[in-house]
Amino acid sequence: MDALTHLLLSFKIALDPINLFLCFCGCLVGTFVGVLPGLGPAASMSLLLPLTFTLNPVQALILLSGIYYGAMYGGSTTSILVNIPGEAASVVTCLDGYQMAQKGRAGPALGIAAIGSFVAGTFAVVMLMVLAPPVSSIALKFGPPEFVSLSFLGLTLVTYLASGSMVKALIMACVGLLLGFIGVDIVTGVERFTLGLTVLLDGVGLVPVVMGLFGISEVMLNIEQAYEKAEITQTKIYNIWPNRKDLKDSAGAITRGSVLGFFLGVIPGGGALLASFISYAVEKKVSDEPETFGHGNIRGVAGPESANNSGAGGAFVPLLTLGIPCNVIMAILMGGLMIHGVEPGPRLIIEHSDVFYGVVGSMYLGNVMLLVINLPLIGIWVKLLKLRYTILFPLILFFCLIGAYTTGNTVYDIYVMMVFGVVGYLMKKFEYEPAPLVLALVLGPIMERAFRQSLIISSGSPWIFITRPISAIFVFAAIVILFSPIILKLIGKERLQLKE
Amino acid sequence: MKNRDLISGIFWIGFGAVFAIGGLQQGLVRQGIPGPGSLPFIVGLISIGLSLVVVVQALTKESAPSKKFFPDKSSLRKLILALVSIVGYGLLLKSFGFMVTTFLFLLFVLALIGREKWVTALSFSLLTAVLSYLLFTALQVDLPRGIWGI
Repeated sequence: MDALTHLLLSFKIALDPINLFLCFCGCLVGTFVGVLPGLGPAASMSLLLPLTFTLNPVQALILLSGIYYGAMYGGSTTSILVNIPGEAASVVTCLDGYQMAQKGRAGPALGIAAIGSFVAGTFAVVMLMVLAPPVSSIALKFGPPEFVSLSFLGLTLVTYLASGSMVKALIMACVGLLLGFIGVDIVTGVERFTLGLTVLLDGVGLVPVVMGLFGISEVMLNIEQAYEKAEITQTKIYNIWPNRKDLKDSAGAITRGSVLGFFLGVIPGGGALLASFISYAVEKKVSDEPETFGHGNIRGVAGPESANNSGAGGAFVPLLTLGIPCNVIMAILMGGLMIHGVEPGPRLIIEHSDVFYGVVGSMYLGNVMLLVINLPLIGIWVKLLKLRYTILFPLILFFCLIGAYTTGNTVYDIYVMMVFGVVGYLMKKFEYEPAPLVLALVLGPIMERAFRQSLIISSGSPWIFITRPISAIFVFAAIVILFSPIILKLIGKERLQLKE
Repeated sequence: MKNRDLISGIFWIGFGAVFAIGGLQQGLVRQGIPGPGSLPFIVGLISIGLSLVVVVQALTKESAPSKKFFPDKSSLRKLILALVSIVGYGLLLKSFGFMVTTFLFLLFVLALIGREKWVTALSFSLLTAVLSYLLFTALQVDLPRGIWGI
């Protein structure tokens, strides 16, 4: 099949009425979640995961990914209008977006954010469609040892790019792996670390863990604050469409943001968040007047908003081609696919081509839908912000409870979720990042299986990871990254000594 | 972060140790190839090593004093109430059924943690409980009916 047939196939699947409806629902929920501070895409996707059990894998993935890129879109609205980022990837949009709104240019800021997101989102989908098949055909040659070293490299990158201490991030990755060992060992059938609890035989569920770490803990961190009346300034939005000058100013930023965002999205640990931050830095660097950034420069909105949408698309590449989730959202999608019996990896495009092309097609359409959902309906989304947190958080807790219960129809998952809520709360206080833990928890069992398969192939010799060339490259790269902070420190010291 | 790093570091040492020792008991090697305890043992050891780094850094490095643990004097009360409400939901769900438990849960949380007026709390929880019940029934989500069958 050539590119055109693929494109037609993807639209055929995406235009199926049910898929179209689910894509719309995903975009709508995503925008909603993106606008509401305190409920991020990670928690809300795991909330909806149980609801997708009755759907087929294509439908489930269409719905869930719609929430993801919808949230990237929606997050910008609140950043611009009220200086509250709806989700993390929109933090930088506050800097110039809110300033523009203060100067009465909220309309063009929202407009350019939407246009940038649309352009970048579409670019990312095209790139995904072009890049994914060749990448997965290379990855098809990978055996278990290559998969182990690649996952190892992926986890290393995630810890390297995590904010804060790398040692702590590595501990989190280890904790995630260890939690993944809980349950019945798939090779020998031995019960491991179940504490005699039958509920732990299948292992610690991803959904309650994610909802605890990202939903419950967020609520805990919010309610412990003294309540204050949120001041929401009433900004009248006159004209959403940016003028000719705005468009001319932003064109470069949108282009750079789209390209940059996509490639940063592909890197494990990168994704939308990193993409938006780096894009902002780049725009400031290439600008003739960097001093205007932070005072309402439209490029400071256009660049990061494009980058985060493009990054969201890029993150799909490693998941759908290698079976490596780059960020927590991808980990949830991976968990969701595996529940449906579809294992993400190099064989996905061949064996489940409807899943791959269906999602790609729905992403094209989703980007158009988001334009429609966002721009004319902006007034409604702003009204949402007036919802008091004292009304909102009971609802978030309630959704989490239902989500946890319905994953396995057992109340034990509610307790697991609560434990991880407390863990996530403490991790925030003790400055640990939850993302490496979640990724390791998802990858852990697959990595372990591949690890032990590799050693069966090599009849017990661990050198198999280094004697196979592709695997050796991954291991080498991972080791360089692991020790780079120490190496850089040593080089830095030498330089200092030279100066003296 | 000094003290907090020390505490968390020691905690993760213990956590890693549990898995390392457990791994040892389950068998590192079986018939020449790694057994079920092999990876838990290795990863457990690595996390002990990493946690030791955190502990040593906490003991030797000077660092900025950390923020207050609870930002407000009502913090602890509200957090405990939140956890109680979650456990309560889990305990009551099977016997009281979805709708009643949801109503009680929302009422509790809205009135005691959120300090909403009783009228607001009462009407909001009643409305949400009934609407969500109807929604989930329509979506054919399997929810416990409880002793009253609702």
